[in-house]
Amino acid sequence: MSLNPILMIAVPLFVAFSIPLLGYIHKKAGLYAMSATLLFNTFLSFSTLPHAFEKPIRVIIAGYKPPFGINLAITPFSIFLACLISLMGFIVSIYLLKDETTETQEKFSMLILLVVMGATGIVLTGDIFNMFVFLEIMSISSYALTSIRKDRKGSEAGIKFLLVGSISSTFLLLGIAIIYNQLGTLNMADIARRFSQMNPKLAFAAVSFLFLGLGIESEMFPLNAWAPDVYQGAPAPVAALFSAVTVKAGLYAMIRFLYTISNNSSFIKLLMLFGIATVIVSELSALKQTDVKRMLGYSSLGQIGVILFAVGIGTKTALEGAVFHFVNHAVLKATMFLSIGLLAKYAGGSSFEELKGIGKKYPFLAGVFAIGALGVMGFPPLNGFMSKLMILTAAAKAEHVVLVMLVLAASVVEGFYYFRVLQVMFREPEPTRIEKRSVSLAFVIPLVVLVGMIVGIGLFPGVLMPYFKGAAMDILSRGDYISVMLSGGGAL
Amino acid sequence: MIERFLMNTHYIVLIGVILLLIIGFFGALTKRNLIKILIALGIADTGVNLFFITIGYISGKTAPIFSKNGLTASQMVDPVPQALVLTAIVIGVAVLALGLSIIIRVYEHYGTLNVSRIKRMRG
Repeated sequence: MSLNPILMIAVPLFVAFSIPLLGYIHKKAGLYAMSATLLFNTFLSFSTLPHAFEKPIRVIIAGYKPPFGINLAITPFSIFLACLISLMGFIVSIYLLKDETTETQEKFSMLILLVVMGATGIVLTGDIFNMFVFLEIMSISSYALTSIRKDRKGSEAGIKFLLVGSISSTFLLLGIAIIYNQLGTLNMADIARRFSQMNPKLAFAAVSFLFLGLGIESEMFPLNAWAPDVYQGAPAPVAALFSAVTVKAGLYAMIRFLYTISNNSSFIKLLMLFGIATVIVSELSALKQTDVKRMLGYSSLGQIGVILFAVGIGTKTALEGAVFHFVNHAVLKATMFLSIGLLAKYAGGSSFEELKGIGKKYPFLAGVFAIGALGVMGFPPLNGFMSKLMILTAAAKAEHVVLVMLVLAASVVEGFYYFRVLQVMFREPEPTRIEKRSVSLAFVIPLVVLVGMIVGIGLFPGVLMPYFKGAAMDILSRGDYISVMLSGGGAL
Repeated sequence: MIERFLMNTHYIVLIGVILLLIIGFFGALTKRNLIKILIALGIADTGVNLFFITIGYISGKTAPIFSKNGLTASQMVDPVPQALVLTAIVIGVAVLALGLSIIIRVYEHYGTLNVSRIKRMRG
């Protein structure tokens, strides 16, 4: 039995808009519907995974064959990310079952479904305008999610996010318009095939506009000033979702555009430099933070910088490392944001002052946070180590020794500030003002699963290795993408 | 020379597109009022939409209605950009509505719409 992958987009969309109706049946019905839908998505994406790795799948919608009409392009890289996105979405959704960010949680579950659906759409679509629409669905839901709590921080972060996001969408649309003007097509494979026919000046303008727009979405250094505010101001599960889902979709769009569509080697090189700048600036900014959630936001940007750096190197091993880091970053940052969210809720805030000695009160939650922190720093048995090692070895092989040293220096800085947090949490005397409360099972299960993933991936990276290799091959083999998408893909 | 240039509607519209984009981005960068920034971004968006329409427009051609007798493909304009612009307009409206509602929230908390004073989160 194999279902049409389009259901991965259609079902969440349908459920998202029926959630307000489900609210009449039962107060919590929306939340359960969200979890069930994300579980369905996870199953569907994992069942499509082996087929797509055999041969990329082309799903034709409404009978219009490419280059006409909209089609889904399910390649190894995209289905791998779809799996990651829906799995992380599902894990976060379990956490949300008992979460009390807003009273009804109806809008909340609806928006979360839309974010996951938008991200899935971005990675699966084969049409560049369709990708823009999914990006907008995802972004608009993200703005709303950021400011859903109606407090001061959320509103401020939300409006900043919205203004920057709409600049990004203007640039994206401008780039797409130039491409359409030149080539008269919106199909990604068709654009890729004929990209060299464009007027070089206009092609450069289009690539620059899209690079800017996607740079904002993928939180690249000079364009990411909004991101720490969003990570700090948004509710913790939403921040977890952002670093695990929306950034990944933005990065996917960036990689797909630079490697497959435009194949512009100078912009790929540029990505490497911006990646390094992102790493250094965000790690140094993280150092002077006094709010742990904001610090995590900067640390998340640092990891994104490492991914961008690896993507910019562009060798096969580097890309495998980048895809590996996609997974690790999603898992680690989700773990840390979810655990710090709970700790901040019990402690009354997420600043260093308020979290003093919390590790003695809530050893489990603080321990989970510590495992996440060690993973990000890259301690050997945990997953962050392997991917960083791969990326740095690849960089050294490509003779970017200075850049490798810079990344290593940034990692030292990273270790320094994470140890400071852990010291505040575990070494300070136990606080008396915080009373011990029991942690609900709906919070414990996702955290245990995530920690299991951190340790499991770290111990057995070989299990996932074929998938990283396939995804990296998919990024590099541009000709295959074009021929498969234009002349017919594998069957389900 | 100038007359011929002005005869070509494409160029006039393209100048309009560039002007709208410049006005929009200039406004977004220099204005301090949140609502004005949002309006400026809306203007830039309109510029892009106009650009899209210009791409598909061929002067002297008509709407692509296939049921109309005696109309061949060479007499029609490209309908795709118009469909895309409709989508883009809807997205723009959604962003504008959401933006204004968040701005109301911001005003409740800060009592001002001046961006230089809405800076609780920094560092």
